[in-house]
Amino acid sequence: MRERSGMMGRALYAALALASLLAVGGPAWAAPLDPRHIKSATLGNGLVLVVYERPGSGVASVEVVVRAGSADEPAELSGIAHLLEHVCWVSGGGSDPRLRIEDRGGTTNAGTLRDYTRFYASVPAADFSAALSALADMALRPDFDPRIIARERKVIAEEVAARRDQPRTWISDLAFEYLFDDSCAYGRPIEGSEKTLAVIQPYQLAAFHETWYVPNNMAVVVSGEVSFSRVLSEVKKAFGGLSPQALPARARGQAPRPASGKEVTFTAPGTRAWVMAAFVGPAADERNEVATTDVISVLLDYGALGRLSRALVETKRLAKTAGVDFLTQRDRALFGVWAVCDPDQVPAVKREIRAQLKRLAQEPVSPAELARAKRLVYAGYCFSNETPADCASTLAFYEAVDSYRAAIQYPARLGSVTAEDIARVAKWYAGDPVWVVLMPKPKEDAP
Amino acid sequence: MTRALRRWLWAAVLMLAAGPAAAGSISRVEMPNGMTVIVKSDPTTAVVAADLVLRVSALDEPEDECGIRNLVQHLLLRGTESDSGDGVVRRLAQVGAYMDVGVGLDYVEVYVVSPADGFEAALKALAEVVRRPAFAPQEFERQKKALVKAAQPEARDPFQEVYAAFRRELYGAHPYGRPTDGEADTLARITRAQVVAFHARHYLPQNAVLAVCGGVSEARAARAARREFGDWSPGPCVTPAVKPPEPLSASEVVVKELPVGRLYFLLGFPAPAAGQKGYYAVQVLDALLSGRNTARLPSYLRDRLGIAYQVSSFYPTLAHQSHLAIYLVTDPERLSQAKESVLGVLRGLLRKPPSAQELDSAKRYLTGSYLLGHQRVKDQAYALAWYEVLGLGADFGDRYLARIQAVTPEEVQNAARSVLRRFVLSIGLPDQ
Repeated sequence: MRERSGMMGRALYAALALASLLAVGGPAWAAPLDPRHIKSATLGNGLVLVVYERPGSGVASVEVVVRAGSADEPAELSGIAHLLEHVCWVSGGGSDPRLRIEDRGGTTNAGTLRDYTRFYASVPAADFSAALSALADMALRPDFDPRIIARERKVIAEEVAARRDQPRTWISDLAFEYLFDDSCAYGRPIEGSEKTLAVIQPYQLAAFHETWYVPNNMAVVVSGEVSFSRVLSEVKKAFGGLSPQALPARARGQAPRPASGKEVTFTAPGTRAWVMAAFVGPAADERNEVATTDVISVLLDYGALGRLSRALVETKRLAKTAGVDFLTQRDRALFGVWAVCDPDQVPAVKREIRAQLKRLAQEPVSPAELARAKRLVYAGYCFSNETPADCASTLAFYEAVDSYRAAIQYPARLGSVTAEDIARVAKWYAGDPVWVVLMPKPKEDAP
Repeated sequence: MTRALRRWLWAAVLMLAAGPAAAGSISRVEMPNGMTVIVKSDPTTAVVAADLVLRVSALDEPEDECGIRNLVQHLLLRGTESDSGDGVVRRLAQVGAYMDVGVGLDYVEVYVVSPADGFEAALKALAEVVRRPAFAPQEFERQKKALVKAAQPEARDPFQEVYAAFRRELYGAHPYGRPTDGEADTLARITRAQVVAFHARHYLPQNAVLAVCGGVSEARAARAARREFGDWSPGPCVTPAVKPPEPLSASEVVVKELPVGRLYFLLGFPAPAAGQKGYYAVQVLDALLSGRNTARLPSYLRDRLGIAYQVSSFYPTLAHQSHLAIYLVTDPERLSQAKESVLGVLRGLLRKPPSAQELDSAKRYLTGSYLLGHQRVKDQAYALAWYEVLGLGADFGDRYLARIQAVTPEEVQNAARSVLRRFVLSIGLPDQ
């Protein structure tokens, strides 16, 4: 599977009221990602372990993260990280490791993004060891049988075709491609191309695996009804024998800002046009700017209450729906503002998107609107960190692109976002975007 | 039995029922107006869900008002006596909460999910939309138009189409045979007066079960529930007596032409209602058939024959006669092969009981997926209130797990023999 990129995705959400939340029920009541129950250790070989104990939950969720994604590929092997993830997930340990998780009523999946690859599972707490060993087999013992590789190439081709069928996902892929040109690794498609996938050889997959799937480039995150000491000893058993290894330098071009102001148009299925203004957003370590961009996202996009919907959909009736795309990544990544409209409305929609973005940079947002937006981002942070699987996923994501601590500190950082921060960061998005437009096939003239 | 005694007995039952997996104990209180309030407090989460489930079932819908529950539910979100629909959304957004509605065959629900400190505001909004909807004429017309459009055949996906045809054939005149979303023609004829009357007749405290789960204390949840619902007056309410569906006299095939390229195949049998004789064994039967890659349907039809990538089975938990159904998507050329293969898999279950190992794997799957499926406070609240509405009791979840564990191979085979008899096969074919 290719990793989903949510709206603000895992970018996470903001906080007005961590303090008041704690005050309501006294200190016994939990904050999401409660730091008092999160413990971490680094094994001798460099592997990072993070454990969030959730007694009473009855389940255990495990994530194995490798800090290697499509941005770490040589251009001629574009798609190799994602193909490797597929091969690992179905073949690790010689037989199908997924069955050992499924047979216990558990669920498992895997994902590849630009900066990392992850394998994850949730099982009843009693089956934690089985899940950990299945995931370790996936990450460490793939089977490079050419028949398995050929089958997974086909599965990936179907995934790519399905993404192309959905303008919502395709337009984001295109935005990345055209916002970051070939000089920057984020500009290459995660799945690679038919051409590159066709030539990837088993030995190249093995070499990529050997280079990047090393303990000093990996993290294991566990959340649920588990104890830190037991998890530590099991993780040592499963991963402690690996030897650390020097990692290649990560050669990455940092995208310039502002973007260049070009426009690309493609033909898409359906009868509607899709328009996206693509900008270069913050990197994970620009932490204030990440939280501020999350608030901007909600100011623009929260159902009927967001500024985009109010202007484009409700008041001026130019578009059917509108939204924002932003997912924190290690380097500067896409901030995209999109709308769906009738093809003849495209110019007016583009003007209105620009106007809304300029307004954010020029008019200070009112205290009430800012408070509500921060509150909504914070609520999203609560909702997306409810179950052990949610929490393991958030901690693993942050550990992959920054540090798991950034996830815990997020509410405080969000709480400190000011109207001045909004105006300052909104300037990044007030210039010339890269426009990506998907137009429906023109109708044949009636005879 | 006095109310106090009944309450005490309930408390005792619930204390016994609280299994080791429960994060907190469950309290259940009946308010003087007849409304039931169930609270499961969990100090380890920062989220709260409140789900109000009402005993307003398909059986309450007159045939010529098919879809009226769906229309009423959507209108609840479109304005109250004192605020517009957007106004309610804005108030919920102030605390970061959201609200939505649902319609099932046996119930309707309205729920809110909120950060814990927004719970009171969210519950207030929930009570307001359930008790005092405006049903403003303009909103009524707009929502009705939208639902009529959504009920047109071209708006439905192929699964919905073949499932609707299947239910119509299986249940005949019984209300379970009609679509929960409503039919375009009946929806179009519903008047605002009918909507107002339906709401007044059925949205009553004695029909309501409120479940609150998550990061609030039991006392805080009960206090808020009393404040928002304590003065809700009960009223007379009669659920019409409905004859059970006629048994199938022969297996039937229904065919629909759809604007699709693949063949959509749904084959199902009448099956026991929730908690009735055979219910747990049919749950296990369903898990032997699908859900895991190693289950019989995917391993035979997908992995061995390679004729269907998407193949599954399902057995909904319903208050009245349910159904066990198998659904798959395949190449239109492969209809008879698909049918023979599915029937072949089913015959295997009739011929001999499952091995201990296979049965164990199916049970582990059912137990594990139950646990993983009830992690979110919204899912917990829904389950507690829904079990209560079905008459199974809020502790049904724990009993369910114990009863699944106790199912024997022979019970599975007996269930197969009593269920896998006459079937309805519903097929969607490409229209050219």
